[in-house]
Amino acid sequence: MLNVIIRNKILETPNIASFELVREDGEKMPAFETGSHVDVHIAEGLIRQYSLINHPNSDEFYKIAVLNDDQSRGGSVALHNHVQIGDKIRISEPRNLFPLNVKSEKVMLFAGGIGITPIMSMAIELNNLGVDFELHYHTRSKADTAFYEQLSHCSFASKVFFYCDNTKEESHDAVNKALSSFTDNTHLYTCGPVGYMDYIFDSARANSWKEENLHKEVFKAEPKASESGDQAFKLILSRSGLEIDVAADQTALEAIDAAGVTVDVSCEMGICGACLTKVTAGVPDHRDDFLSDDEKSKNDQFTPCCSRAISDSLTLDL
Amino acid sequence: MYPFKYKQSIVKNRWYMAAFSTEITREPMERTMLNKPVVMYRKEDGTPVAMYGLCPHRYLPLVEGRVEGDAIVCGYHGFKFADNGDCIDIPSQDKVTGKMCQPVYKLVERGPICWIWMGDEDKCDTDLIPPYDDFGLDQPGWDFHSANYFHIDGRSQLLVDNLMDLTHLPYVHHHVDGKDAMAKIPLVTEEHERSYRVLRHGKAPWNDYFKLVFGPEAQFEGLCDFSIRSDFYGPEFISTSLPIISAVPGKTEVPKELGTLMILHGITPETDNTTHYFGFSTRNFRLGDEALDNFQLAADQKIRGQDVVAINAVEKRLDFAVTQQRELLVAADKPAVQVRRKIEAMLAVEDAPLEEA
Repeated sequence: MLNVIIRNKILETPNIASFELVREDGEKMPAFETGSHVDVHIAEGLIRQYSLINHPNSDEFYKIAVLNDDQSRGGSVALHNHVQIGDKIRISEPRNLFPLNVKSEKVMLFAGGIGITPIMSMAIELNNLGVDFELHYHTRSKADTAFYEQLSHCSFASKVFFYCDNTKEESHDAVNKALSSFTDNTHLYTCGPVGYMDYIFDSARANSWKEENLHKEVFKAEPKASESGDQAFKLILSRSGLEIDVAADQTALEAIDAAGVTVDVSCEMGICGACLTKVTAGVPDHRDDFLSDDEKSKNDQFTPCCSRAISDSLTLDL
Repeated sequence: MYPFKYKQSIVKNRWYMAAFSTEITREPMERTMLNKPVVMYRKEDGTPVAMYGLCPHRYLPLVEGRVEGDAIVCGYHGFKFADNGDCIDIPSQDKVTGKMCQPVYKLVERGPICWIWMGDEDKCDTDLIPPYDDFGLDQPGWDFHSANYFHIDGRSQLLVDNLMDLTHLPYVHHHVDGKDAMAKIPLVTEEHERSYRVLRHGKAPWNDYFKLVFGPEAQFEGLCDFSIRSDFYGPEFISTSLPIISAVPGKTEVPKELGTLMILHGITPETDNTTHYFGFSTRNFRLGDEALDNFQLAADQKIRGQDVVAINAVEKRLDFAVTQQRELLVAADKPAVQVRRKIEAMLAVEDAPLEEA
């Protein structure tokens, strides 16, 4: 856990504010991989995840961007209205559930609205590494387009395509055109509202993209907090036909065990992979040292001994 | 076979250490590697040759024969094989009949070591030999010393596991101090271009071991910062280092005499269940110091000998053991588990046959 001070707060659009966070003790910020997020402890019992934005001085300060969302149930509104420059808050160490494959031949990036935050970081990283990419950025209007100035004047401006005042047909055709030339080493990353990401995935599939080349960031709307910062979640064991609750202070393995279902175990700390279990629905919060980043990003298996859930429930093949 | 889901654990497409260069001479020698007997000798110009070791006529080991010019002559009926494997003489008849040809293997001599490729020819690339400049082998300002060889009655993976979990040091090598120091030092893992690295950082005072290695004149006051480093280059080669000192109190730079000693491990499967273990060291301080060479050789032989005893004892009942209990893995096994996964991925690429469920 890091104690940080809000060093700067900038209104990027009428609805989106960015925040710069520095450590209270003046130490350097921990290094993070592109695609990482932090848990922000906004107030007692109010924890939200925000993607970190890449920038050249990220060892000095972290930058996040927050949408003042009508649908929000507290988090982003509190950050917008009550958190000011000079305020102190706590954040977790960075975690990466959306790792970028930098060995791709080409990367197609799709951002919907506030989903631009991790996607812009990926663009900066890919540009630095000299990997070919395109950034397609969909917003409701130019006024709602965060980082418009920055993106239209940056060194990779020619690779950024804005869709803010196009008709549905126009942007649909443009998305299809962008997705028309798939190769095995082209990867797609998207972040935005769930409906938007589903639309991008479906369009890619219609253009014969392979499932393993499609990646999306899933934000959780309203986590329930506990003292440790862990949340309760539900497990659906499809083969046993059981629905069980995992309490905030309990591991998934303990809950499964208590329900009388046996899982093979050895180290019980995410080292050995003995308890690896198939996940058929939901998004795990991977906390093990066994799976590679690539395997984690597929979200089709997890280690119940230490990993938890980002979605409200996980469906397991148990 | 344990610990893999595949029937065997030998990755074919690697450069394995075949011998120390000094072992290969004009007298033929034989060593079984990757389940195949291989005869090795030097040509007149000194180039080393590796050839399948049994004569195709009556299967006498070619090592029983003799080297003639650049060719080897079988000691049974005089069949003669050129260094490219072609049969060039059958003394009992006028001409060489059939298309007799002995398989030969690419053998590359680099400094004090000869490396052999027994995998697919189209994948053979000398750039895949472990990178010498990473560990001071055959580099200016570095000494090569304390070469020693052990035969292990155990599968090569047991040695890889042993080297990837150094928390065994105070137990298997109980004459070495530092039981408490090792137990509590957290480990850090890093992916490097050519290796998977495991680091342990700690602090230590001047001690008897430092005195033996670095010499009494290198003594310092207070606690130094040190790290213990292991690099996995592949199932064929691992380097471990004794404490690498990174900072000494009161000094802006680490004095040269507190240099780096790399302990290097060549691991070559002999058969599925036996292994050739080549040990040697490099260092960038006290160059040419014979007393230190001798001390290091004796220490290495003792330590590697203890590992061999432990591994042989494990192998003896390993197939039984895994039918009785699930293997217990703990926090210190993270590097070993990650390395097993890397090896398993290599076996998958080579389409190794799976163990029957």
